[in-house]
Amino acid sequence: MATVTVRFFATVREITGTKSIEIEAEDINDMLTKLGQTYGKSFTNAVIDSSSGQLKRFYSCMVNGKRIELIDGYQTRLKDKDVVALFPPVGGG
Amino acid sequence: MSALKFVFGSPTVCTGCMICANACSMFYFKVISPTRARVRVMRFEDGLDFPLFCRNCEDAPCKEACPEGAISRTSKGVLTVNNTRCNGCGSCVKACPYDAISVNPDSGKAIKCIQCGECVKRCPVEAIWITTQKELADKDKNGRLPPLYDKHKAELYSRGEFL
Amino acid sequence: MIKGVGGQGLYIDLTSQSIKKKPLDEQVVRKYLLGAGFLSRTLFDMIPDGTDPLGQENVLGFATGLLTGSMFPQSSRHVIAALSPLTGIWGESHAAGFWGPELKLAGYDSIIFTGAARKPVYLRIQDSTVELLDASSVWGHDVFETDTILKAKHGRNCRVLSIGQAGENLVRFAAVMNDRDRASARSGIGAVMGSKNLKAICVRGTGKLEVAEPRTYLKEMDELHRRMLANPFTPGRAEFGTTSLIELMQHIGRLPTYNMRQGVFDGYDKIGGHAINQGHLIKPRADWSCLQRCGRFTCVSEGPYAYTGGSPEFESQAALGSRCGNANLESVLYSHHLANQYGMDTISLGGTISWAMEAWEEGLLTEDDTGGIDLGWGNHESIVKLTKMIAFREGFGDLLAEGSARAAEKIGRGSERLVMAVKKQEIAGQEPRAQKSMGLAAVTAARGADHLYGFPVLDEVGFDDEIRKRFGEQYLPQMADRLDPTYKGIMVKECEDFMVVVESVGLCKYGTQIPPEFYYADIALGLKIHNGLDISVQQLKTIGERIVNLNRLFNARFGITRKDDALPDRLTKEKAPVGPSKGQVVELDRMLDEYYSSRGWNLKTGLPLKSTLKKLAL
Repeated sequence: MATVTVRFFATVREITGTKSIEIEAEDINDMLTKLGQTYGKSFTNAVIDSSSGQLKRFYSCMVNGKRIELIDGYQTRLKDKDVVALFPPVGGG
Repeated sequence: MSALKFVFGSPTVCTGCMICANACSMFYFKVISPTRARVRVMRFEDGLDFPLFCRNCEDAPCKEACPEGAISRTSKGVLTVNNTRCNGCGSCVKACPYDAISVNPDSGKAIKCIQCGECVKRCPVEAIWITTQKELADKDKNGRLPPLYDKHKAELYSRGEFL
Repeated sequence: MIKGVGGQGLYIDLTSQSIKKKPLDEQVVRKYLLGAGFLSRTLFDMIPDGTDPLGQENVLGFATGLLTGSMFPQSSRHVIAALSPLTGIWGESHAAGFWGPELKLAGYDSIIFTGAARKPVYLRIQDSTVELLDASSVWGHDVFETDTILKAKHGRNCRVLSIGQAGENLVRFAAVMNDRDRASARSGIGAVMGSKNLKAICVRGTGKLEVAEPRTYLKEMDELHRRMLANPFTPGRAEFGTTSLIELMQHIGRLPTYNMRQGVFDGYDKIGGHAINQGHLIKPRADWSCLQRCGRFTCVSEGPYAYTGGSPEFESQAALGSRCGNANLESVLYSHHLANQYGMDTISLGGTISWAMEAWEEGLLTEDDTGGIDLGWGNHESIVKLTKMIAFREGFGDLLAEGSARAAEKIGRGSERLVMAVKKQEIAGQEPRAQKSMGLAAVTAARGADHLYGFPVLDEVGFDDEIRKRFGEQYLPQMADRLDPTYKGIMVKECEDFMVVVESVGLCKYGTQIPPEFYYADIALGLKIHNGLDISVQQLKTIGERIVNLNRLFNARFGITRKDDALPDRLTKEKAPVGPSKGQVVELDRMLDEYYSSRGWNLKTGLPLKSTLKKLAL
């Protein structure tokens, strides 16, 4: 179990009402479950695709700046002091 | 008579995108042309965007002003223009206190909003809605909207100057 | 006959004050569409070799797209092009607003200006009336005043496009502004307008656009509107516009900071979307047919930086904020507002000031050069002061008004290596070591460093589905990995072809490239129901490729070859020092080889092969 900082942005932050949280989690799956428990239905409904149990389309989750799809996806193991960023669909330039 | 309906909008929600005006001219005249729409949209530099419609006045100055008797109220309370009678003289345009009636340059007939709702259902931000005086007062309990309209009334309702 | 257009082009010689109208040429449209494609063809043919960008012989073109003024989502845009005084090559800039649709409603799709007026003039269009009028009442006035004065004179419902003082003073990165806060900012197109003594174009169109398929038009457009509103990006766009990109870029290490020394900025959360929404956002605002409403109306309510007006978007926040080490949000908002008021490109403005700040830090610029202005990182008072001084070419501002590349050439002292530009245009807000495709796109863009010509955002956070759809499974996962240079040449090529088509039909890159909602088939549908043009997806792709090649040929006439497709050494040789992209450099040569190959260009010269031109009927 690792203690990580999860940062929330844009519309996700409006749901959590906070910029970031410290949380203990094994991997991304575990982290999302725990965030769901912490922030409740409004969080889960907004962020998680109920059919796949994964993040909704275009939502992105990065561990230390690297998107989880390029690591081990939802099984990406977390270690102490990792910074996980959770973004709703946002992008461009 | 049942309460008169009209379309009304919030200038703080309206983004000024013109979709209402374009949907209107397309729906009625099969063209894109804000000057042929039955709604006007006016943007102000304090950040307000006004979608403007016929207020369906109880006393209906447009109806009173028409020398041909072309404007009448339907059983549902909608003021409509009879195209056979209308000769495009523009008396109604001058009479309307809200600049909400104009003469279509192609047909030469007066056009005005008849609360059909085609624009309302297409507004991407739900800035406009069909309402009545009473409903509007209930919805806008703190009386936030009238002062915004009052603030700009000289430009909003210029008796045709800014049509 | 093509439907849904103005139908005529205006050809105006400012020297002789002659105004001619010509019908839109359907053959040109079938080969190049309208907008950017039309201007690419027209100006290629009209601008002579060896032209001085600020001389009489330069040609300045304005064009709407085929769908500009339609009900297609985000169809508000127009394009302006000329030989650029900043880069000396193809110059092109685009903006949203209402001016383009109004021009079409007046009956015109394009305006081409040749020559130069002896005294300041402005063009007034009121439907069939087109006249050049004396501009002495607005010359010397800023963009907002010009808008107010011309509306007072010609009617409240006019749409005004103009330059501010920066354009009059030939600032090399002067913008052309329309509808007060919409900017065609890049390429210094405002200086071209200034050099021609053309202050403004005031348009009122009371006409109509007749569409090709009026009976099904609303139904088809309703479906496109529904899709746009249902897109997962739309709620966030409405809430934050592009301002919350600051936070995203920080997390991928792509936020240009301290003149692109690095891609992360400690003060990022002070200048981001959340910070703007807290106390500065008045409301989201949209342009013609825009459902995403990423435009914002904002204010600073009191203090030295008080203003009310359009909000900076991500690029301006980055340029005037992190790039200059500036975490003072109110100054970012205000200097952006001043840039709009005087008519300047905020990207080049921030890029030039940040160059000067780094030169200052290294001792290459001193108070003797700056006239006593302190250029320490994040000195927001200096940033605001310089914004004005540049627009008026006062003191040290006169040097910076030349842009960072020319300013560095003038002062020398080794400051050239601090110039973060490609082909003399400042690189936009994408630290390319954190996203390799953006590094490649900055060098291949026809108008010098630019993120929008190709706008390759598919690897930004990784749009796997979109990559699968456009390219195929075999390109994953590399193409979606922003740090992997593999397949980026292929991706940038595809994105450029698509983006020039988007610029030629008058749509926004938001809604086409990102979010990737509308693609070629949707544009083809739009052209069919709006314009009555039956152009297949394959034909559209070919047209895109043709326009990119034509832009390259234009630049070849002005001396551009592979050697010019280069990034500053910092980005290709020095490893990113901190942040999520630490240790990265841009592997440019490798990506360029792949890009030229997929374009059918000579690997050595970077110029189109004969066989490529033949294939594209050029």
